[in-house]
Amino acid sequence: MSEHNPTVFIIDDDGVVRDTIGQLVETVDLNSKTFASAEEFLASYDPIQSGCLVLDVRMPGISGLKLQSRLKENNAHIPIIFISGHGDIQMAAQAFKNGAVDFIEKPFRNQVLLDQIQEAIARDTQLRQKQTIRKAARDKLESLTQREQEVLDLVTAGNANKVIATKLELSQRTVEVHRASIMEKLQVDSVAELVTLVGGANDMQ
Amino acid sequence: MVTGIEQREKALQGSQVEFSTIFDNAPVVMFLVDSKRRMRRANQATIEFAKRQAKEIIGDRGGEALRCMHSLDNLKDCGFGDFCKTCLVQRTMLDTFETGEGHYRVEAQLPFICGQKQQVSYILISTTPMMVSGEKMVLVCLEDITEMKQTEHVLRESEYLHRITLSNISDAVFMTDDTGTFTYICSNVHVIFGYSFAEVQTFGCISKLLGSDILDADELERLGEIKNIEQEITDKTGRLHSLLVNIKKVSIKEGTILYTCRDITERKLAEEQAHQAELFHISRLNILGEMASGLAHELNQPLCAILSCADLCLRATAGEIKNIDRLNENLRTIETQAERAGNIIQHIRALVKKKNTQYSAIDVNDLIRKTLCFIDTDIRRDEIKLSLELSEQMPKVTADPIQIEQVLLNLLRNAIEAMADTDIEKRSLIIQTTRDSENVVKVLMRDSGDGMTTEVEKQLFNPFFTTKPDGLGVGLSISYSIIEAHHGEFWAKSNSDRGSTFGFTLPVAKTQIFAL
Repeated sequence: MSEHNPTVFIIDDDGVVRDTIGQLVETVDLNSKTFASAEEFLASYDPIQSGCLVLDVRMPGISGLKLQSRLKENNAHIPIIFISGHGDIQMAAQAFKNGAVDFIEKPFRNQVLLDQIQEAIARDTQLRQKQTIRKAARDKLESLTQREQEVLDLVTAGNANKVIATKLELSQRTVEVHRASIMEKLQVDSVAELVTLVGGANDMQ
Repeated sequence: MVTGIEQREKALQGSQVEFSTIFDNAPVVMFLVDSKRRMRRANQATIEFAKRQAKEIIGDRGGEALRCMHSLDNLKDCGFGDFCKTCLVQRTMLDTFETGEGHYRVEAQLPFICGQKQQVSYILISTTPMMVSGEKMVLVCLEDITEMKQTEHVLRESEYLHRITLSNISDAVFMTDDTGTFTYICSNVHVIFGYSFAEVQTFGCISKLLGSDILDADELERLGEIKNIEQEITDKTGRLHSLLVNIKKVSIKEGTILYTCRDITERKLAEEQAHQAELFHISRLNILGEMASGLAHELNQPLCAILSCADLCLRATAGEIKNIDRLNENLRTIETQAERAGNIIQHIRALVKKKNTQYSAIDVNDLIRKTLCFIDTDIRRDEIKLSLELSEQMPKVTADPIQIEQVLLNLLRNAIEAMADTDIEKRSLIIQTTRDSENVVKVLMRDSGDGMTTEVEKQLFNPFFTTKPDGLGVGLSISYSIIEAHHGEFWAKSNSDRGSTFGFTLPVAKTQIFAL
């Protein structure tokens, strides 16, 4: 699958900068795709594609910072490394607030950029792994019945079977049956595991 | 007993003594020549003039007695030489003998021997006929005016020298009496004033030439001299001149005043131009200072590319990159990017450099594009929509490219700053060039900023007027001066919808006028 071959998306209106960063990325056997503008990038970007963004802050049309917030609004959490021609503290602050990996000032050493690209890709990989886990957990939780869901909520809230039975006006025995069914369906062996799974599914990232 | 005869003889003797004393002591050369034209009697002044004894003189002819060079050269004595035929002294004397008429102060020259030297003396000769004991005689008086003549000659030379000097200096010199009426007008008066000597004479009065406010009489009375008065005058053709006037009381005659006028028009013009060049320069430095961050960005681009490419080349040569096909290409990029950085620096240096105005035929569109490269970063930072509407058929203009770039930068910066508070979607800058007429090219810059109040519009071109908290207020006034110096027009107006439009014109280069 494509997410196993991370791609470095390079967006800079300066052709030379774009091209050299592309070459640099290739030296570490990563895929690269270059774009002259944010618009060009948006037209072809598929959020499923793993990787990171190397983004010029100042560009005609949609600026780097604007692209960052637009991606965030659309829940595309691809890590971004900004490169800036001239250090603008305000811009850097905003970029970091919105989760930028780094804000590198031109001129920079290739190795610095390369290290940050590796870091960003590692972050993306981690993120995507988390997303996979969460998706699996959600799928499992969705297999529960309405009643099982109610029981699960009370279990993870730390209630004993007796209390749950009272609250749901069920017999203690019925609660036990539901509980066993939940453990079975979610493939967990302990309440602790159960809590982790539910937590993972609700993990907002 | 004294008889009447004795009394008369006594009286006669007395009068003889009297006249002898007068004759002998008279300070002019006086001698009596008898009918044989020999000296009968000579006074003390004659003896001194001849530098001989009295007894040596008596009986001599006049020329011999007075040691006339011509008579001494002549064996037959005075009156027989070639020169004697034209001798004015002799002729005057002979004329009196013949006609019995005296002569009064006839000017003549006589070459005398004085010691070892021959000396030409100027004399005035007067003759009077006399009858002495029935014999016709002539009383000759000679006044030596040689010294006076020499003084006169020296004076004449000195006067000539002054006249020549005054007519050959570029300053104009006048003298007036205490009412300001000319008593002297220099002959080169037309050089500064354009009026001929005769025309100035008809003016009669210095105030007609230099203005009625030229002289502060009380001040001159107090100081005796007033120096370095700067006075503006209009010459005959209507041209304005700056003069430096010195006024001095001189002791030629009571109330005489000397005026000397020096034309400093060129000097003042040069000074003003130098001052203006200085202002242009300072204002350029000011703009560059404001643009520093943009320029740093502009330089960073090529530096970044160079650093990056150099790294790629190093990686290739270290064997980290298997495919070395692009090594050459990357080296080439380093070369071109280094050139790009060099060009930017050269451009900055051209703006920073202090130099005199240098007109050449320039392409305005080119200059606008070049200038935009410089300020592009700021336009992008502020996300201003830039539209270039540059006419294709643009002739070259006569202009100093650095100064026009300065004007463009000023206007661009103003436009960018005017839109700082404008919504990003509404920020737009339109730069337009058109050929306004056969001889004129027009540049318009239209922003969509806050525009100007009428109050601001009025004061826009005043030096040191600014609406910016940290502005100097010289940008627009200098831009105005620059365009004015280029014989163009410069204006600003608020747009009907929003923002302002600034515009200026430049003259089409002469060789381009017919290329319409």
